[in-house]
Amino acid sequence: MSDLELLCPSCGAAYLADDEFCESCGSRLPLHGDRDHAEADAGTAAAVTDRGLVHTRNEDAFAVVAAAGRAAAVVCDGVSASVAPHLASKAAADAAGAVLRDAIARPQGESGSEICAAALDAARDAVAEVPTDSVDDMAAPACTFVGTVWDGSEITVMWIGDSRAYWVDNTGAVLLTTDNSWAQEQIDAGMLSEAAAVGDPRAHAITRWIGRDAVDGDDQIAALRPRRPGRLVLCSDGLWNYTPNVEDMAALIAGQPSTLPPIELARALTRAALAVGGHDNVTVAVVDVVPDDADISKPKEGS
Amino acid sequence: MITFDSHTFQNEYLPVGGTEMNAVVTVTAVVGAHEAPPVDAEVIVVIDVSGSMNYPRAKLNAAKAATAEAIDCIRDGVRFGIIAGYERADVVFPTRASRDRLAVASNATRAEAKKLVKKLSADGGTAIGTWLRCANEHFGIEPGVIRQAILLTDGCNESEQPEDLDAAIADCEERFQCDCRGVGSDWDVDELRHISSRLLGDVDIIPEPGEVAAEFRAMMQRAMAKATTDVRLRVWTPVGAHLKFVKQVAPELEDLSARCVQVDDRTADFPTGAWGSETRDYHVCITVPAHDPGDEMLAGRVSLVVDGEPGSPSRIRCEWTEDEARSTRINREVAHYTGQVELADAVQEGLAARKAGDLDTATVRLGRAVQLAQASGDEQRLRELARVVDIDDATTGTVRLRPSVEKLDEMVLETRSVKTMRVVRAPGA
Repeated sequence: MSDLELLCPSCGAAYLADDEFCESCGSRLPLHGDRDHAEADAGTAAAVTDRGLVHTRNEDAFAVVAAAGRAAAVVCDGVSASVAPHLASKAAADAAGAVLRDAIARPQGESGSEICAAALDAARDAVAEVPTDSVDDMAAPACTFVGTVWDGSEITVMWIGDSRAYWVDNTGAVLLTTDNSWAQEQIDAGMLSEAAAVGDPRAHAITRWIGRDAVDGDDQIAALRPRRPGRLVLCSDGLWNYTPNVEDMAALIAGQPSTLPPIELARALTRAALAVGGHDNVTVAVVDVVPDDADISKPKEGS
Repeated sequence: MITFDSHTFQNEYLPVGGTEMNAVVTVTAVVGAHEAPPVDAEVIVVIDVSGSMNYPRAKLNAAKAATAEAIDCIRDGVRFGIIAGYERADVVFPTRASRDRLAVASNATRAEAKKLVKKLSADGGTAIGTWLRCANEHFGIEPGVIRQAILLTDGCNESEQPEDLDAAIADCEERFQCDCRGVGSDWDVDELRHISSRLLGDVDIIPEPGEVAAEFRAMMQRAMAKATTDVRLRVWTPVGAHLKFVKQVAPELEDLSARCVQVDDRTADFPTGAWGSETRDYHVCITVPAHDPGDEMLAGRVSLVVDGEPGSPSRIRCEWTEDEARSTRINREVAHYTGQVELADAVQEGLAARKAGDLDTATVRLGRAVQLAQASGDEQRLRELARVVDIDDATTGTVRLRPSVEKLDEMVLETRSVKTMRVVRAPGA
């Protein structure tokens, strides 16, 4: 992929994502720390990413698209233990975003699950192509992935890792994803209580990711046919760390005015994470969902 | 198992317009304590049996006793041989009857070798090139074997032309390492230094015959402790940068620039021979194109290639700054070794001037040497210098040349001028 070619600003020689200095002229290479804070507003879909208050660079990335009652979003969080996580997440989000943009622009093409799968495949390929010098694949560039498509009637979500998607409407919030994390696996296996698992130092270790050294596994997909208007909220753990329980997340979102446009809600949730410490990179994508046949969109007569 | 660890010491800040970056790279090798040295080794002792070894008689006897001591230090299983050198070279052990190139060390072979060494008598001239060629013929050719020669002489290479010696050295390069010892004061420091330098060994003076045995024992023990055959210092520099020099600065000064083996356009290797548990320091000087204040670049990368395996590199960085407080600070290690090099130069130039009859230059240079030795706390060097000059004030370097100086004292000073003090680091640093 041509946009993955990294060229030294001083001499033009190609370099690898894990190089700090140019292998040709020795110049210090850019850190790619230009995502300290980024926003995108596509109307019914919007996203915000922020470096946070502790980390020196932002290793999260996103993509959002919206057109004619349809929308899609992706959030990726680079795996810090890998080489060049900031480039992995950027490559994944850009590649997935390109697929989603095409799909959303095409009226009534593939199904939501086909689009999500194509976006995830593109993200996988892009991460695998991030040029690095690492000899052992243990540190190969890697990131999480959560992508969603709203096609006007159905929501589809696919994910790998611990970035999350919530469905939020006026009845509360539902967590659509299941973390591929050590803590979640312990809970699922009945090994530990939720409190014990979440409190363990290993809790946040993720068990699946995308990258050259990723372990194979089934596609993880969730679908929802909403009956009433609501919002999809995608986020990296930089946000949900502060509200690990779905009730807390619901309360956080319910605390925001319901009239906020997606970009404003994304900003508000990002600010909320920063206000309580901003210990990690924070990324929030919000997609407005208004079903054509929404039965609660109109106030019930007589109530 | 031998492990290597390297650290780079430098002041990475350059002033605006600055183009020269100096760094000291300290390399420490540690051989696992409870492991038998895993490396196959061959060792040959070359002793001078020219006629002069009879004067005084004690010299030949000391050399024979020392060789016996060295033989006792050879580990079981190591292949060894003894060569007696005069205007020719005789293989004393293993005997021709055995038809072996070298003998495998055991109680029996060590005893037989010592018996034969005891019978040696001295006569004839000195042809060190011939001795080296003889050793070269008896060392094996299998890769991955440590090959070490220990050479003792008491005289100059009078039975050969310098070209003969040079050609012999060229044949032996990269075949084996050779440590040279001169006993007494009738040998030529430059000649032995030339041999040991090209054969990756060291040279020292043994002033008294009685000291040969202890020195030989120590040399053989060091040879037996080597755990890797071929270690190279690898330096990478970017396009536009130039490697000005690479010097070993501890334990002895040795300009490695002449040993440079170009690996590719930007990478050069400098062979350092076999290593045991030891620490060596290197001074690397790289010129770089001047950059703007705030710019940062990688001026070079230094790594060790151990038996063909490149290790993880350490970086030599540059950052340009307008802050003179940063750029003018000289790194302590670099300053220390720059001083040690100047000390060696002062000793060598002072002695050369004295020999040439230029007493003013000799006084100035040896005075400077005294001053530098004093500044670095080098007591041993001050004692050696005090045998050549009368020191009025070491701190200011005020000295008077002594009217008569023992040649031996001069040679001690000259031979050991390249030995350096290691930089003293605070505990834990």
